[in-house]
Amino acid sequence: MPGRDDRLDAALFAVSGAVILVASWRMERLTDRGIEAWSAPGLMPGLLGALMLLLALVMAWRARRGTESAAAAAGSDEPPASGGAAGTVLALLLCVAFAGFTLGHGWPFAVEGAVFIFVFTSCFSWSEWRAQGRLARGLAQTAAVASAASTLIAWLFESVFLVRLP
Amino acid sequence: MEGLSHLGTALAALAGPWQIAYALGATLAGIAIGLLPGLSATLGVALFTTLTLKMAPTDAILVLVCVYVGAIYGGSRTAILLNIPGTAANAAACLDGNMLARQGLAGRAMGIATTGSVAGSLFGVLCLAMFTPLLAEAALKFGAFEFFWLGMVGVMLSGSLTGSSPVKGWLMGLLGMFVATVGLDPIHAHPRFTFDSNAMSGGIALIPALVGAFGFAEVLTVMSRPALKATTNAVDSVLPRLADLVRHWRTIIRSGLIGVFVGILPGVGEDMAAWSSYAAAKRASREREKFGKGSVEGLIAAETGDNAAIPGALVPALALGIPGSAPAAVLMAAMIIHGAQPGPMLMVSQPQYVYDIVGITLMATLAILVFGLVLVRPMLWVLRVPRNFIMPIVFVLCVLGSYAIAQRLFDVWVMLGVGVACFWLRRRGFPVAPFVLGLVLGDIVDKSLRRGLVLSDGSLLPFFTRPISALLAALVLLMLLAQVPAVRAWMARRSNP
Repeated sequence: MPGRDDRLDAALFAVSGAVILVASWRMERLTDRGIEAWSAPGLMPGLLGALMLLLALVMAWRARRGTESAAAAAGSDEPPASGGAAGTVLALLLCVAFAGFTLGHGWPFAVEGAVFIFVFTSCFSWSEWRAQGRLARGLAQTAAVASAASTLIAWLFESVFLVRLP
Repeated sequence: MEGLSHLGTALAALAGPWQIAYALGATLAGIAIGLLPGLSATLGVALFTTLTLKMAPTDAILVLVCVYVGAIYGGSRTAILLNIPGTAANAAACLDGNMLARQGLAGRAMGIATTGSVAGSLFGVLCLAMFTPLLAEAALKFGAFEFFWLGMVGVMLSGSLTGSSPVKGWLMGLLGMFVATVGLDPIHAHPRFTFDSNAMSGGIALIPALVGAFGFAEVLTVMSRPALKATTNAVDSVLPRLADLVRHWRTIIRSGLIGVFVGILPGVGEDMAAWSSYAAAKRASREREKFGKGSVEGLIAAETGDNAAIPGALVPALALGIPGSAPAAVLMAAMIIHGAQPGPMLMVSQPQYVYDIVGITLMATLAILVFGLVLVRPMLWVLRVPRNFIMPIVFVLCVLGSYAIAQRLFDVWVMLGVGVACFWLRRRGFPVAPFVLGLVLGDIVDKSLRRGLVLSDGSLLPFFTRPISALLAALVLLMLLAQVPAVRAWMARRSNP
């Protein structure tokens, strides 16, 4: 339902634009410091919020008429990916768990990175390996690649680029 | 004459063994990034920005330009063999490149891609050396009013041309500009949308946001799609043919001109350059019917156009501080990190810098010629590495790339947040390039608008009455009017009476 999707997106942008506009309007104008109103910090975000709201309304109107979906179908250079919702959710969960929650909580980066690469690759390759009857070999190969890649990346950043790893 | 002297100095400095090694290594890495579907030139430049933080400024920019040129060139391999563009810039090369591969001429197609890429890049380098000083001199007359409109034109143009719907593109551009306003206000240092958080006061850093938009979002996109297999592994001769150059010289010059022009347009980028060159070649060709069925001319046009757009995109980045494409935006951010200040004053304060970039781009072009001749077959093994191994490694690099610049975990969260948002928005048909342009240009547009208003004592008139401002404002108005149904219908009637 592209028309409904567009209306939903338009509503989301309209709400965001309105929130930005209101927040910018309520932002301090610093006139008590002798600063002119037209250089107030909220001017630009307020303008952007208003334009966002306006364009979201145009988008909703076009979606209602069906022109937004037609334009998207005619010239899309980035077609929406079909299917793969489970893969997307799994990849998202693994990445957020690694970068957002386990990183910087005790283990050395090289170990955390290796565990992440191993788990990610194994999760996505499991059914393929099992179908080919090479589960153990696949897991062993993945463990080796994950350890080598993570150690190399950690060494590169820590020793060559002098980054204090999380 | 002074320009030639600067160029000579630049080339002499780039002839050292370390510089040659950096150029070859970075171009090879760029080709590998371009070969892998899902990894874009923008991601390559963003990741390598963090890897080059400790290098000497010229060496760091040498590496980044080589990655940029290499990635755009490398993407044609995937387009030819998999019918999937390695980067967005190679989409036009799929049409004829893959058809040639299916006819058993994959090697010939790759040779043609090398010919087109090198010719386009050389043509672009020439234009970069000629136009940057001219544009920078003209831009010395620009004030806050002109820079405001220039930034707006960049975001609007990018929104109009890079996505499926201009309205969606403009919304993304506005969103990017809004994200750029988060943090301390650049004029009065007043916190904006920081929610009393110290980390937010520093603003949303460009590199973590770009790594999220082009790295994490790509990892999610790739993992949501079925895996791809190369259509052919056996390739015939990959040597570029001089005959192709001679026979299609008109197409090469036309595509080079179009590529440079589209590259100069703020925020439009290499993919539009390739499509425009391809369309122009098809219109002018005597063998129009062969286009899309394995036309050598079509492939040359597409590859010449996208590679000529690379130096083209650097012209406004250096002369105006307004990048011509998303990878050029990251490159410009890297230049700022390494102490340069792209913009009209660059030619006054650091004229040598501009010619260093010309020399570097020339060196990158020579590197793609070397790899096009000798390393095509060995490079194809990259396509055989399963994505299930590559993507988690890319993500680990995204995490460290975001973290390395300021060494704070907040930037990793920025990368995750921007990545998820861009992934979701892309699936809904919203293009990412205008968001990046908005993020880069948000600061200059904000400062220019408010400085302009202070200079004019609150009057909006100079924004519309100064000649260049009026021209740019008219361009913005035209882009808006072109989306009004009645105007579109009138334009359609005019073009098809």
